[in-house]
Amino acid sequence: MKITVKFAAALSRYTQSSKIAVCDLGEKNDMASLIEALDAKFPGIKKVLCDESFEIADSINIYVNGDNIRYVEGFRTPLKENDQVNIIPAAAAG
Amino acid sequence: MIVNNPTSHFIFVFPKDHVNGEYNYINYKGKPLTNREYLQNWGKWLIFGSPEELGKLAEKLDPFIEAKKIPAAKYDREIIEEFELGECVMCVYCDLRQRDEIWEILASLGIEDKAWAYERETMERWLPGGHLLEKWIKGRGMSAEQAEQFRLYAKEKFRRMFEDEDAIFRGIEQ
Repeated sequence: MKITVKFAAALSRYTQSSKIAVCDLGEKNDMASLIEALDAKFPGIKKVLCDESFEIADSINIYVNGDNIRYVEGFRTPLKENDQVNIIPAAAAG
Repeated sequence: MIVNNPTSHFIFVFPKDHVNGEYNYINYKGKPLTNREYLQNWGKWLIFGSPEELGKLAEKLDPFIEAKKIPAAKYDREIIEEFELGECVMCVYCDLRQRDEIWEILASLGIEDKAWAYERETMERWLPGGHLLEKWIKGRGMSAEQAEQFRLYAKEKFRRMFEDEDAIFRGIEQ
């Protein structure tokens, strides 16, 4: 399964200036797997997005189809083909 | 109606009636929200862009807001450097129960990136320990004592605003 992730401009320093990334999750289908796939593409980004136990960083909001995953199932949020994932600094919601 | 007061960081788009004090845009199907409903349901679609891009979008939203199909919007006049976003943000406000129909309008205007934030999220970030309050305190170079006083002030302000859950929501004291 391929998932497209879009990053806010403020995160470009962690994504080699990319604003968009396509990750192939194979058979996996949850947000934690997507984060691992992103970290393989952009080493170190996992530490920006969450801690070792997959607690979402306070400074980050991750959305699946517009919904903040904090209010869904966190990193256990299921993903399906064509889902839209956006990652933005939480300050934007202020 | 676009309300562009140069002394404000934000540029607002409100229905004219709201500006004239004859209408409150914070409602659902014409009924004002209680404090409880506000915390449960009120929120915003977040849109990123340059001030010019958001200004053009505001002009396109204005007729929808005047027709009360969208409650209201606001956007940054300029980038807030302290927040390190690198872009300005527009908030398009509405109740959770109408957010899908409002998203359809935004999508028809070319918006693609979908991010919904509840107002309660924003408030939590402006309470003691919240990411935004602490960043703001740090940016102002406050002493430890001043920072603590400010945290207590913020906490008390929010407590007073929402202590009666069934009262009609009267707005955020800025």
